[in-house]
Amino acid sequence: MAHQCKFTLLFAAMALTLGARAADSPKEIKIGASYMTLNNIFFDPMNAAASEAAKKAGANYVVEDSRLDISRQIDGVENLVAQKVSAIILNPVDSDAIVPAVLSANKANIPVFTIDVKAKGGNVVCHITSDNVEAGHLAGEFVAQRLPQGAKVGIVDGPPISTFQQRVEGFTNAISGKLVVGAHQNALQNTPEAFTAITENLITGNPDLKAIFAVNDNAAEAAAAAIETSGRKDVWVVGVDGIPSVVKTTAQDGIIKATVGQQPGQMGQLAVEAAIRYLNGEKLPAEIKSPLKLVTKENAGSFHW
Amino acid sequence: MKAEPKLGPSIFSRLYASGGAAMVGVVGAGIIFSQSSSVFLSAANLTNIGRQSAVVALVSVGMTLVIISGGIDLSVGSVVGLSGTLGAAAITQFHMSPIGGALMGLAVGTIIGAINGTFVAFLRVPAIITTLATLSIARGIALQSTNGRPISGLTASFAFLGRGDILNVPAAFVFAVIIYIIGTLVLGFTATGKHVVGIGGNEEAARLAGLKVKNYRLATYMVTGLISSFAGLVLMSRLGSGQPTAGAGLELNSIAAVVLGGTRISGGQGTLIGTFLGALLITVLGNGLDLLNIGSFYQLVFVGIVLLLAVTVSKFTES
Repeated sequence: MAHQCKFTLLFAAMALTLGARAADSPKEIKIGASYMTLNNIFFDPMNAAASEAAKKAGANYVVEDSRLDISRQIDGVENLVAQKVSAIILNPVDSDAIVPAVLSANKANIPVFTIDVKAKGGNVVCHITSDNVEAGHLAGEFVAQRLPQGAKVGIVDGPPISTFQQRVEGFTNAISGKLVVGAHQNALQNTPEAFTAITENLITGNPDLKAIFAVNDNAAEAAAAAIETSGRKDVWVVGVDGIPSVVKTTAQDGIIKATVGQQPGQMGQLAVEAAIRYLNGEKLPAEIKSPLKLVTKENAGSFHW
Repeated sequence: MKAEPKLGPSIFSRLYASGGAAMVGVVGAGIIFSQSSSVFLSAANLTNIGRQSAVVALVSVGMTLVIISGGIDLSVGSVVGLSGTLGAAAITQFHMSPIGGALMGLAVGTIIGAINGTFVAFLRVPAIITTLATLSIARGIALQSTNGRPISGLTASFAFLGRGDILNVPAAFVFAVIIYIIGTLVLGFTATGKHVVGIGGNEEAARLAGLKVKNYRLATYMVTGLISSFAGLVLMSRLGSGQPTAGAGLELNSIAAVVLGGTRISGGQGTLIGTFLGALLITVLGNGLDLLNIGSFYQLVFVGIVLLLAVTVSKFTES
């Protein structure tokens, strides 16, 4: 993998020196991508789909893996700038710390597109993301359809970060007027141990809860485990993310009845398509939303990242 | 035993040192919560409290030992995380038996304890620095070796420790109680235990009396590492997976439990019964406030106030 990367770089460098003349020909599009990590079940399909989309459009595609290291990512982006790529697709390790890298791309007049995580400065043509409010909303609609009017639900929330807050906002909007939030508690850490204890207390303190909305799939798994240990059969869980283990329990009609799946592959594809459209002179909105998918027992078998 | 205990402050002081304040706190919180929540005293909720308190209670045993002997161990939370992930990896990836995986986890904790003890006792690096470093190292190894991802796929054979029951009492809680009983006997009724407390009270005097202070110190850190890694296995079993981030922040909760339990933060005085009550108090506060649907941000404020109150009371009862 590392070797492959080095070779790609080597070839890119050769192409750069040899192809100074070739650059005059208008067709030569080269997309550079930098991800926070590729050693991850979420970002792997994102990269694969982006690469596929570039190939389809007849563009070259080079990729930098930051391995969750922001300084490595900044170096990587600067390498892409030095290679004079036509566009950069960026999935920042850190929203703030990535800004200098965006600025150096701006300086070289290379358009930047961000995926999933925003950059807090510099000029970004377009941000490709899943809408967290919408994710919460889809989960809320699912719960509202399955429970009688006025039933009580609990929210297993996480630390106060915007992702979770937006999901809770969407969920609460979707159920308002139909269901009642009987209990809502924040885990102070985004860890299974924190989510487990909260769920135990939530379902014990509020025996009338019929369902739990968990702000992500880790929380959903912890909540399901807590419910299972308690022996309760009348409470079920809905999560957000679509991680493979949760999709599997959903398919088996376990305690987790649904999760709202993000689609990382689609995000990667949308990013490359947006870059190519932009390079062809098209105007783009500041944000492109990657569609979400409600994963239930019925369709879990066909869902994957 | 003295025939005539001194009257006045020293009675309060002794009561405090053996966890009197934590006892008052647990009973007081219990009364308030049972009045305001109908389920607080239900069997299901008492089971919850047992499960939720076991890990912090276990870690606090070791923390009591090091604090009583004049040290501190900030690495306990990271040891919990590392022993859980390595134990889980040994079972799921290297196909060891559950016992083998457990032994791996316990060995790792003991080794980190030995490293702590060596640096503190023999190389004279301050305990707070040494264990801050191993906090970082152990967490780093846990994250790196798992790429930050949980290790799942543990079979049901490992569920007993964290999720099973012994006569309807959570097994983890039963193990914690057993370890507290053993610890109390050792600390209060053996020469070794009294030496550990003595070293915390006056290290120089202990040395002049001919105690091998360095060896005692090394031993307290190793025991702390060992018990913390056992807590790590309990948590791993409770979560059904080895979580590289497990136990983060446990060092703070366990220090709070020790201090609430009346152990003097500078060493030389304290009991494990007090620590047990301190750990119980922290858990009961979290549990009861959750039952009353009081937000966890308020809870942080609340726990801080209780801690401040307890320490202030101790200042007045000492003297």
